[in-house]
Amino acid sequence: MRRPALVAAAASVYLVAAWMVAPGFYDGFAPQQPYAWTSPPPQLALGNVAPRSGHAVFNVIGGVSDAGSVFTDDGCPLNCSPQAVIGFLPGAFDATGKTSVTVDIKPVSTFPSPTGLHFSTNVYLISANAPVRPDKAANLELRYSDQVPAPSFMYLAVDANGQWKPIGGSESQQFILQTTTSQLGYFSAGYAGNATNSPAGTSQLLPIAVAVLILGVLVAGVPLAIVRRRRAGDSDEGEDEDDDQDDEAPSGPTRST
Amino acid sequence: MISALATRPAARAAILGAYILLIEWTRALASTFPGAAVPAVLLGGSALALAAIGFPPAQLGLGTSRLGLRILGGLALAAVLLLPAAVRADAAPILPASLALTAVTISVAQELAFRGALYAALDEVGGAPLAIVGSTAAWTAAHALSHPPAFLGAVAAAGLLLALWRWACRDLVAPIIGHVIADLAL
Repeated sequence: MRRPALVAAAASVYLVAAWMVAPGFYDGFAPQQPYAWTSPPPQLALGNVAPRSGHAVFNVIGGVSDAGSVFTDDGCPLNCSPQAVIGFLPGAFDATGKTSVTVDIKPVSTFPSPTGLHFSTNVYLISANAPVRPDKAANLELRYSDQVPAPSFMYLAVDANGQWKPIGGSESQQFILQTTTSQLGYFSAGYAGNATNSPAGTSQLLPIAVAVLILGVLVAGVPLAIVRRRRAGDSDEGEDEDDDQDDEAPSGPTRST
Repeated sequence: MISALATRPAARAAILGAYILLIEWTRALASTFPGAAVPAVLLGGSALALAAIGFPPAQLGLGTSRLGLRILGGLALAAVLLLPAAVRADAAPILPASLALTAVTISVAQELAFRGALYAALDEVGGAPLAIVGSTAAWTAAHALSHPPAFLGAVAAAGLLLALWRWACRDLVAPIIGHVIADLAL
């Protein structure tokens, strides 16, 4: 029974390891970096890590600010996108009299009430020590989790007492919403409360499929186990006709060899 | 050179492991370019499957004897692999149907490479313990570039489970079936 016990132990180890990180083993296509929430949905609270900020300083030469991007430092591996990225064109800031412009992105838990809205991302406060020129709109990208309903729009509230307003948004890559803005302030991506967005790519078919798999294994496994036991009994009475020594033949998880 | 490798199992296992990791890491890097993910998976999968060339099917764990048990084992492995995601269905992304072919390609190829060829080569060198540990370590390392670090524990545990099945049942058909179903679902 040593071999079946080891396989069962490995299955248990896997279940624990996979439970620690949703959705578990997930291979054919690389899983998204887990979203770091300021306030995670209950089903994603386990293992959530605090989201990070971003900071950058743009030089101003001759009154013209450099081009560049600011992004949250989310510790991404190779193929991961930061949770928030904002890119500025050359001269994007009204930087008269400055030698540099500082931009910060901070995930915040205190922000204007999103009445009537559901947010699919954190709220990020993006601030700079110089205003953005209206004709040099910045490009903003927010990544959202693949485990919550997909957002329809990006929303902006220009200050702590402001109203949220939609500022457009289109999916530039999978799970990334993109738009442009010439104002800074509080940003998030979400959808109107009366909309019925479905979770991003999720399905209730999976529990049914796994239930069918388990049922299939049980229904087919019992007769197979009975047949094997009978054959084993017959073999014990006569000469063993088993092909245990044959590498090609599986011994089955219930056999100890 | 090939005949020399045939007489040196350790060298063959080392070269095979390096080849498989090179293919997997190249695939991970190539997938980061826009529009390259699917071609990278198809090409990478084909290159991975080449690792099994030269091994008799029996040594890879392939065969049709007791096919019912093998299939049943595959379904059971799939159920285990998918169970955590199924319990938290609202936290489980589903693979788009358009990517089904690529998912099948890479899962079959990975099983042939890791639990098939590499397992067999390591088994020749150091027996089952080295084959199980070595193939699991290579499998985990192969996913290091493509997966966030948080997922590597689950990846390693899945690799260990599939390798232990390969050892316990001397069978690769069930890991292939389980891996294919898991990749098709997620």
